[in-house]
Amino acid sequence: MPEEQIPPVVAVVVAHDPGPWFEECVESVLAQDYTNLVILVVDAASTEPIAPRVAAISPQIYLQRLDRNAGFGPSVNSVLGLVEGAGYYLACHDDVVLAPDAVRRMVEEAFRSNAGIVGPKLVDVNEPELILQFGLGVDRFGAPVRRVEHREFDQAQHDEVREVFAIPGAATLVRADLLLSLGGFDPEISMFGEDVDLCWRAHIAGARVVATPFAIVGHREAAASRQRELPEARALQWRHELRAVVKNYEGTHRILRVGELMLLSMIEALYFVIIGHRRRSREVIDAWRWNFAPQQGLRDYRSALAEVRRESDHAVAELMSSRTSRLWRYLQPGVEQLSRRWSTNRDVFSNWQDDHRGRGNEVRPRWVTNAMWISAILLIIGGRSLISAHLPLIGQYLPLPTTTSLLSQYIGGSTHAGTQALSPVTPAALLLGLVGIVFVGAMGVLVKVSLFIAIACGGLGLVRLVRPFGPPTARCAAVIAYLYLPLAWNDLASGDLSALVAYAATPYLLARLMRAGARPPFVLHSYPIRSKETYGEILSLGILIGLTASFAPAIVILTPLMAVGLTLGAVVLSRREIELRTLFVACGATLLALVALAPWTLSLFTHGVNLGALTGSATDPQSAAQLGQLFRLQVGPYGSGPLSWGLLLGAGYVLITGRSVRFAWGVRLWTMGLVAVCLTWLGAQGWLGLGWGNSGLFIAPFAVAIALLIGLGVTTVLEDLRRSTFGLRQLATVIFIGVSLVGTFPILAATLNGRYDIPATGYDTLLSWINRTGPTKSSVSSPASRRVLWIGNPSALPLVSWEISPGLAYGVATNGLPDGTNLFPTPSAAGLAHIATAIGLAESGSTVHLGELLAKDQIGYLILPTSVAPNLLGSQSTAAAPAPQLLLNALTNQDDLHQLPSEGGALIFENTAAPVAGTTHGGLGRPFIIALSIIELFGWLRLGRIGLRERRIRQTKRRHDRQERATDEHETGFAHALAEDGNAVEGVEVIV
Amino acid sequence: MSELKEVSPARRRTITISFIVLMVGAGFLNGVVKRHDLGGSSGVTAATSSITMSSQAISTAWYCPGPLALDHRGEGSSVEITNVARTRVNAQIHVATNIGATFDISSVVAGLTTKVMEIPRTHTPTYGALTVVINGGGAGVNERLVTPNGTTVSPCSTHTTTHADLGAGSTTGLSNVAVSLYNPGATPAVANLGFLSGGSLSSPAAFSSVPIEPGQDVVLFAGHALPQRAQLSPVVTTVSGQIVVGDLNLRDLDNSLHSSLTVASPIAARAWSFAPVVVARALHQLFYILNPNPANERVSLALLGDGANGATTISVPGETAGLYEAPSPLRAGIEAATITVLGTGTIISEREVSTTHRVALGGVERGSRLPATLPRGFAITGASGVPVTRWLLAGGDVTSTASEILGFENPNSVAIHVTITELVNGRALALRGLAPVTVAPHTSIGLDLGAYLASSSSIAIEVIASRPFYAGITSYGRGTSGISAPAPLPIG
Repeated sequence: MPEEQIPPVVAVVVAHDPGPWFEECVESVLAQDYTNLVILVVDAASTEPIAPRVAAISPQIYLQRLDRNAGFGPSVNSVLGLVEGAGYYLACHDDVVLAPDAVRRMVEEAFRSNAGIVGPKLVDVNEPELILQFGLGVDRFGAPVRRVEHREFDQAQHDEVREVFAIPGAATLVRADLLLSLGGFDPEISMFGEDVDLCWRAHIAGARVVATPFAIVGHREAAASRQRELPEARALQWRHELRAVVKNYEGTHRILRVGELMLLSMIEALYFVIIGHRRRSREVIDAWRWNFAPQQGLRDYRSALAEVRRESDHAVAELMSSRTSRLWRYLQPGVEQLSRRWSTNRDVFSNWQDDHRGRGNEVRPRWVTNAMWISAILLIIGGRSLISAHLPLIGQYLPLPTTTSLLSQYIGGSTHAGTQALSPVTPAALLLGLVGIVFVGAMGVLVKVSLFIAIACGGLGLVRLVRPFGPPTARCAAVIAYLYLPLAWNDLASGDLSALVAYAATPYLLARLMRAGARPPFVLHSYPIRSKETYGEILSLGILIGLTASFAPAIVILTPLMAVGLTLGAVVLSRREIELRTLFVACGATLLALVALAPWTLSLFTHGVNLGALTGSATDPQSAAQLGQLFRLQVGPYGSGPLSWGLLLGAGYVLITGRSVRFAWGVRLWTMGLVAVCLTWLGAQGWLGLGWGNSGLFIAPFAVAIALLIGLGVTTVLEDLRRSTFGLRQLATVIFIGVSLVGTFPILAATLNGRYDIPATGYDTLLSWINRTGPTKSSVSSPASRRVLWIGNPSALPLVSWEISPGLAYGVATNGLPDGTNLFPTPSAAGLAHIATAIGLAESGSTVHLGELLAKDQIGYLILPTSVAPNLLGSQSTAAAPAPQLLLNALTNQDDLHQLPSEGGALIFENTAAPVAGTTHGGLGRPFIIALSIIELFGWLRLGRIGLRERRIRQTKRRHDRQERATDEHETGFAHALAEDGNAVEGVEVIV
Repeated sequence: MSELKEVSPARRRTITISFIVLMVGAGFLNGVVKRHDLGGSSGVTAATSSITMSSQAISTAWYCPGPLALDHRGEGSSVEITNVARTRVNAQIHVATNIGATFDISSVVAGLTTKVMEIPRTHTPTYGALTVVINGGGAGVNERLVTPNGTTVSPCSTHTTTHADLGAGSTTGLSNVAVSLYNPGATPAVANLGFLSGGSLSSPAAFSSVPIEPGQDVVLFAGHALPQRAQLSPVVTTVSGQIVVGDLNLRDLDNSLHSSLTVASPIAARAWSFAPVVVARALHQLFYILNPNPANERVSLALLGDGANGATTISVPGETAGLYEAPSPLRAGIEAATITVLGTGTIISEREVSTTHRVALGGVERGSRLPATLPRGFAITGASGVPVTRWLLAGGDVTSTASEILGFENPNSVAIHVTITELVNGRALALRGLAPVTVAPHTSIGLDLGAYLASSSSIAIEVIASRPFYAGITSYGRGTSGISAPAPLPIG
């Protein structure tokens, strides 16, 4: 292009206390092959004036010094009044290095694309083959969205000119007239967000924003990499993103986006409060306060923008990214840290790692990490068919109510589970409701995700549980055993969510109980029973029990039983001092949990207790799991083969070869496990009276004990075996490794299934008509007449049920098919207990008008499922769960029950007796429940705060204890550094 | 840090071995501990109808499938309701005919009373079945058919079923079998009627997929489809719904047609008990045993009572039925019978008592008081259930033309004293001249009521003893033919 036609470009380099890279930056601008270029350096109130440095580079560089550092944008604005005749402005940071042709390329592209703003390809200064940024996307909340993975290897995949939403502020070419018409950068935005705001306004003004790959600019990212001190970076980011939203949107769009952002901010603030980062929470709130302060002059800015507006918000929104970047920002550091761990060279620190081999601080070998990841991925692949499929209506796979419904149920109580009495709901409704907000109401997705997250959480709990005992290898073995035991997958296959929750919670409960025993290796100093530490243990365990018992109430019984088992184990070891502390803590925590769940536990006493509602209705002893099945954890389709004995046999290794703490804990855990098996078996056989029917739930401690024992076994191999002479122990070790590996094969094979034998068709598919029609012969066809009585074998009923006799239970669905109101267990069958009486009369032949008796509860249909899921000839076959023949005979003998044609093994009877108008049968009053719920909520918040404080105190104490053990001065110093900083140094893999 | 004392090697060995022993013991325990038996599961013993005495009873229903002859010349049908409770009950009787007509009768039955209600005329010869719904418990119901050759009585049933097997009949000569398929419920049913004959099952097309609407009765005659068969046994299965099955067995005894009403037992069972009846050398006692399973079954037939010949083992091939004649007793008397499956399968069984000519019984002998002779006739009865302490023996008459014999069998090792009362007009009256009867261990006794009662029709007798025992009646015609042995109803 002839020189006279080349538009003048003013390069504005803003510097504030620049580092040693400043000279390189200015020299690169000076070295441009663009002839009509003027360089202007703005010194934004640097501590030491940079004039000498600029002069040393070239006397032709203009310099302007500002009295205060108002930020990048305002600094650039300061030159707008000084320059005349500029065609373009190139705004640069002081840590960029321009390629010699960068300016020319950008100007050429500006002409070619008729763009108002042009940006380059930003690369790493030291490794130019790594791309840092190539334009920016922006979500609807003004948060930047990466278009390029950070430090992505340049393989020409971005070598095309792209229209983007924003250009990162490191180097931006802006048409002078556009910049002037927009009023420059927003003077209120100092840094973080000024680039997005400028480009957003440019779009509104109708200008194009493009990124050209032919202009290469190296960027040190001095601010982002914290080479500069920027304590307020995140606060500024929030503040300025919000400003962009409230300023640049208009009308309805602004209202909607501000509303959404408000909701997100509330959740963020709450999240930070819960995790103890109050400062961050304040920053989130301060962002709003700052933006809506009167001096911000939002109205003026909006008016100015309205004058230049050429594009509607709708058109601009089409250029925005559809996903939200705000959530990713919380996950991003963790993900990036993980990826750095994979790629970091550890040789530099290997000596330190070898020396610092304290308990719990070992470096995890790469193969261990790989093994855990591969195991987890295989299991996720095993559930691949569940991703898109809907969960059938079996077991507890019930459609959850909406989030607002859940929250209102928690606050105001519910006539749930078909009862006609208003009763409180556990905090499970609140928790599900809040999580449902995050899932934007997609409750079906929430259920599916929760299934796998529960199992993953359990695995994580086991890692923490095994940590004091052994090296990462032991933790890996324990977690793999935990994941590959059949219990969780049996619970999935039968829809037993209570048992799944118990399985996930047990590692955490067990960890607390084991710690409460004040035995090595958990506790360094023994505490008296009545001490502050004990009460702290009671508090934290009580919170845990309360939260998990909200979903599976039987945990309030399970936890003390685990404590009894551990105590008995100590007796077996002939410890003179009986571990009363474990029992004390367990009982105290259980009591605390019951108090914390007060509204729900209060309703236990209003209509009498049905233990089956807590422990699960007892199944038919004829079909209940036998001892051998319980030992193999075969409470569902998995665990039947001989290979399923593998992990159990492996768990016995520690008793044979283990020493010291490993043997002692092996005995305790085996005792606890056997107590659990014994109790489960007795309950299944009906020797404990009503209830105790949920074998999958009560066997969970045994399963976790097996996993933990496998971990102890590995520790035994690594620690004890080397000290013993060659003999049977070595043979036992080989057998241990072999059977343990083999024991994982059955579940490994189960991953082929794709859905862990969860049936594809549930009762919702077969009985969908029941939600659409009422009884044909009833005189009143109304929602009330669609109440359905589900009766039969408890394991076949897809709703919470109450026991009539072992092997026979019933539940009532209010609206045809069971829904989420039938998910939460209720302590009593308030108002429905006479259904059991009526059934008993029919079975004894004392009535042939059962329909008339049931009409008082507006029961329109009776459904008798005879298997866990519908049995469909040729397509689906599931475990049978037949109802007692006596019941079947009784129902068919009734004069007013009309059997309807059905399939899938469910027998359906229509009640031909006219329904009677219903009445509410007592229960707690709604105002009383609301008051109790609010008190409970505040109580939980209070407990949470106290618990977090106690946790911090304990963590500090533990750190001090570890530091006491450190002998090397360097290690001590490093440990102190870790304690103060709390962050892992990049490149070092340290497990703390 | 708190010290952890190492466990001594001896203790370690003890603990480890203890755990191993515990696991082995668990395996052993698993194998031998009997599981709880819920009861109410599919039948172990024959499911017989009984009288519910529960104070909580709200309504009980009895189904009388018949087929009851309505408006046939020389024949009359009735239903007998006996209330063994002290309070009165209301009875609602719904009659369904096989021509589609239905009608209802209401009645009040006072406590401790039996009431016989004639079924009104239909003006067209037809057959019918009926449902009796009682507003409470304590009542038993029998169906009665009066024919020129005697009265046949059968207790009605409290169960519906999807499968029924009936005893052997015949279609040779005048003989025939009329099968009644009665649907008392609210659910339509479809049934298939077949006949076991000569070891194979015949399923006539006309008797396949027979629809039975709610409240409808369908009567089918075997002779229409399978004429001139010496022995055939009806088998009924429903494709959908549940029904009550009964038959009227018409037997040609030397050119004289005799009838026997039977209600099919609802389920197969492993044990069958038959009430004591009169036996004699010329009185044939036949047991019909059907093995519905594919595998062979060995059963034990035990005869209890006077002149009993002990137990006999019979092998019944799979999926076949047969008639097994009990050995003749050594002397006339009273005999009960039990049939028990020796394996794990189940069977269906009925008993037939028949004679083609008058039978001499011998009168008074060893505590029994039997008539001198018994007329010819035949009676088919179903099982009467396990021994209980209280029985209702209804359906008999003591008139100038008929009488009945009470039979008791004591299976205990000690003597029992049986109190016999007649339920009449709200009172339970002891029989004149009949003090509590003592029955010696493992013996039986028969008493002809005609010696103790004045002329009375439709007698309801309640017998009570301190220990479980067997009780039964054999009705017979004085000077005329015809015998009947309706199963008694246990009261509990």
